[in-house]
Amino acid sequence: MNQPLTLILTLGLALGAASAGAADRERPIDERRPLKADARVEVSNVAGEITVEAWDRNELHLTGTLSEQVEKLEITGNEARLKIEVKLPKRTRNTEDTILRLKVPAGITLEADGVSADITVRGIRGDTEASTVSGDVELDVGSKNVEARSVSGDVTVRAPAAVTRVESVSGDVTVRGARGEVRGETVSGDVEVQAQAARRIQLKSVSGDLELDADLAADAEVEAQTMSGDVRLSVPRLPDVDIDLETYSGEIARSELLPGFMGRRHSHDDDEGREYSREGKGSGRVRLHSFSGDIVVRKK
Amino acid sequence: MNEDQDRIERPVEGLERLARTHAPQRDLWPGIQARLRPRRRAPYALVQFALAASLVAGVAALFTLSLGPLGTAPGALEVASLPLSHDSRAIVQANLSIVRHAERELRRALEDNPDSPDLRALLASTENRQRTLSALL
Repeated sequence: MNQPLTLILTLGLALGAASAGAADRERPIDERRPLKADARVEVSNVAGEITVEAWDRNELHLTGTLSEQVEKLEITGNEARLKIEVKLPKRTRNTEDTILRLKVPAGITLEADGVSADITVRGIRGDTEASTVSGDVELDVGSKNVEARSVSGDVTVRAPAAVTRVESVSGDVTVRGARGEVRGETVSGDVEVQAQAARRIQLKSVSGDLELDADLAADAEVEAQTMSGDVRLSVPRLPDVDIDLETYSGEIARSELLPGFMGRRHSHDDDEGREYSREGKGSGRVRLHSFSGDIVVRKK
Repeated sequence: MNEDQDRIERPVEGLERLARTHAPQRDLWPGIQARLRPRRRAPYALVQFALAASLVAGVAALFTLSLGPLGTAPGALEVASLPLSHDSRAIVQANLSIVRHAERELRRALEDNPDSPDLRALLASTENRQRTLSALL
């Protein structure tokens, strides 16, 4: 056998053995704790996964696997307030994935924190807050208050929440089924919000597109600001409130919801077709501004 | 180059002192690159984006060479008490570059339209985000 082939086979066997060894050193988790139906649960995990699902017992059942580097899994508190932390030794350099899967009563209040951990939450009805750095956040909950953040991951929230706050730097943000108030912010990610009976919506991005599909209440306050992204609003009708659309170098599309607005009629550098405003009787307002992106208001 | 520009372009403090003898076990750049989706309409886009991308690539390459030990991450995000891994630190750095790029673009846009309250609000928000990410490192 020639030398390079021998070397490759040896390395392959060594890597295979190392990976099998790492899997062997993963430790399974199987912990149970009593929990009140409205307990507060805080869970943190540096790398891997946090998955939380509601079930019909007043009990926590925690399963999953601890990675080799984990010093200990610390569960502290009581049935009213429980804290679950994955503890790593100080000065840990590399972190393999630790998987935490929680089953909890639906009524709990949840706070989940990760770094490179993905966070998934389903079925919780208490307030839900989830933050991670490079993981994705996906919440499908019945919570009244929802907060979800990531730095580079995508954030997806499906909740009939009265207050929804979502943010990411470079990930995309998606909100479905929100009611009441929504605040969404990114730097380069897109923001897409579908809301019912929306009263107060605030969307911001530097270069991401902003898209809102909503039934706006009569006193709705909608504000969307972006520098270079497009702004798209889909509504059955615009409420009778002040409307203010503006783009510096983009365009505003003609729409049946903007009667009398002819859009851009000249191709040179005038401002025509880049502003639209009208006054309304209601107390709210719709304000869509982009510096260099387009603005589209369409009837759905 | 004005003071702001100088501050933005300044290398990450302490990065050059990191030992380069310990490489991470895998290339960090593909994971970062997948998160850096170019947007189709930046007002001063292509050249600026290329500069930002090369800055990000440079930062990633530095982190590929080596990093120091993990530290705790004080800052505004709720993940503040958790240690950042090598990969996460590089991703935060890459996102910090995105935010700095966005800040430069906003400042340029403000030169064209200095009275825009929207641009000022976005700039304030971006500066705040930059502080938050810096605090994570």
